[in-house]
Amino acid sequence: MGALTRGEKGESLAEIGDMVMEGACAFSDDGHGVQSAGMMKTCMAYVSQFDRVVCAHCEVESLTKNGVINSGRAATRLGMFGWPPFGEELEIYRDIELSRSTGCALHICHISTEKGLELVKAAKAEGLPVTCEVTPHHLFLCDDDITDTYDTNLKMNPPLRKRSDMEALVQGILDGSIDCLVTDHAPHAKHEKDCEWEIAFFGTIGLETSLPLMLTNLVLPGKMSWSRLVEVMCVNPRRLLRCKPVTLAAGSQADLTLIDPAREIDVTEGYFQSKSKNSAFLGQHLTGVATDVLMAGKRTLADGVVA
Amino acid sequence: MLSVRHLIDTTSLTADDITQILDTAKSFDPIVNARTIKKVPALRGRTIVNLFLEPSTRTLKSFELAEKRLSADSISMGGATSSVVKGESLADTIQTIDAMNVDMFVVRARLAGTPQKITENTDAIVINGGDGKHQHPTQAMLDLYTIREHFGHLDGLKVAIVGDLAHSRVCGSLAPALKTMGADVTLVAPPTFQVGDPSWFGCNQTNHLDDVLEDMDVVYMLRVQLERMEGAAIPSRREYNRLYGLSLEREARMKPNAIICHPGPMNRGMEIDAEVADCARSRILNQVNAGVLTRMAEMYLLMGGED
Repeated sequence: MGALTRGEKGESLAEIGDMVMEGACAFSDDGHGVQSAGMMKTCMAYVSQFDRVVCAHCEVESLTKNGVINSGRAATRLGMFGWPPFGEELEIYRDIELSRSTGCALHICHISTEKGLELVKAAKAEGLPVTCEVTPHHLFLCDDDITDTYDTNLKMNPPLRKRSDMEALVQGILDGSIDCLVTDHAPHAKHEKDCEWEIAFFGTIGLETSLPLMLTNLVLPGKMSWSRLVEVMCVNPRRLLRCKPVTLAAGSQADLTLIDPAREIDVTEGYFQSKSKNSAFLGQHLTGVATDVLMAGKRTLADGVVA
Repeated sequence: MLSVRHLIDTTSLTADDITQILDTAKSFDPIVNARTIKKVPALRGRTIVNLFLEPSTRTLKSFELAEKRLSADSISMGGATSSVVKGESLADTIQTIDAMNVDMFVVRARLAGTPQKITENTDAIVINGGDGKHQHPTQAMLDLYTIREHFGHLDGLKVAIVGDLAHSRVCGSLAPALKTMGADVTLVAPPTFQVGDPSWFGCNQTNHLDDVLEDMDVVYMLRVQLERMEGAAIPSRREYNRLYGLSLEREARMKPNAIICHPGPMNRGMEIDAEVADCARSRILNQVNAGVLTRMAEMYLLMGGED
């Protein structure tokens, strides 16, 4: 994925055409929204000449400055500056309108609010080339889970939202209005999280828990079909990134994940093979894991161990 | 015995805890305010560290005097002189001090949740001396003591907390503590200073001081934190004084027996006019006096009371 603007500063176009010719599959300044609407229009207009999508981290920084937790009860309860939902929604709305005006394909990264999802749904209903994604932590955690222990593994950007937002997002991934399940995997060293909330780094790791969480919470209870799971975790992301679909056929390259839906895990620091342990889901007991992975014909995970 | 091991917030305190603190403080009153030798041996041999990571004068001196009057051995260290400014993590700082075998930390911090984090790195007892915009429980106890001294009770009283609520740890502790004791609390502030979710405190919130003033038993004026006004939330000191300042004219409309409190330091001429600060209703110096008594009570009770 290439940067949308030079140095991800939101000030001037990156050499997008060069990057397309060298294989870049999408463009984003993820971590920041492009703050100037005029600059974003230029970016999307420019990208529209290529068959590529712009992935937007939506955040109006003048509204989220100093914000470290969802606005409202959580911010009041814990005494910190809020990161309001409309700080995200305003930019989603802006970028949808820019997609309409430029024709550029737009993908909303890590959507976190009910209202934001409504905006995406309305855009889709109009036939605009707009898609979106959600993370496991925004599907299965909310700001009520942040207690007065100030567990910094629950600090992320965008922040955990209200319970009603979480429920709307679950509905969205079930009914097809959310296209992709992504982790927004953000590994951090222990000292970057083992500190006061307001100065802790944003983000949680997600790679090793995303599948178990989806299986435990949605697929095994029968709320989501296996084929829908494959759609949101594999088929749709590949389509978005302009990657060839995986086929199971003689002579094709093996890109496969084998899943044991019955294997149970305790999410402890010891569970993770990642160097980083900053998981928002520590302490959970989950059912169903990937046991083996084949990438381009090579086994990279063998019976649950990274090869 | 209190129901809590540490004093981190007032939300965790029961009405019985608060009553114990106020009654114990009252028992210290003749010692501190009437005797020539203002000292008891209650905490002789106990070691207390006043860790003030944010500058403070009145809270620190109040704690230091309370410690001396209980015969504890105490040292005070500040953020500016400690290794904290050299980039040492909070955990390392605490573990280093803890290795010298101390019994109690009194903590003042710029960041919300710091005292809670400290409890995770020491076996010592922790008292929150104010953390960011979160809570300042020892301030709340001295306020309740002062109010109870005047009225003889707390239940049923009508209290307005007026001012910069959004940046106020004083409000964060005082409002819940008053509610626990059966008082009725109204929050008053311009919309740009209001808390995100007053229902968390179980309070009403208004921007009309003049509508509620005449109904109040206690008018608690907050300091406008000029140093914390990140983004100008009010246009000028003069306009704030006109709309929300406690003037002589407003003071004259208060109930006959109503009192005025302020946590200090005051901005005379801004949230409170000079003459009002010194008028007969003012309990501002009583609050300062009560600070030593209630802090003695808190340290004494947390260290095991009679033991």
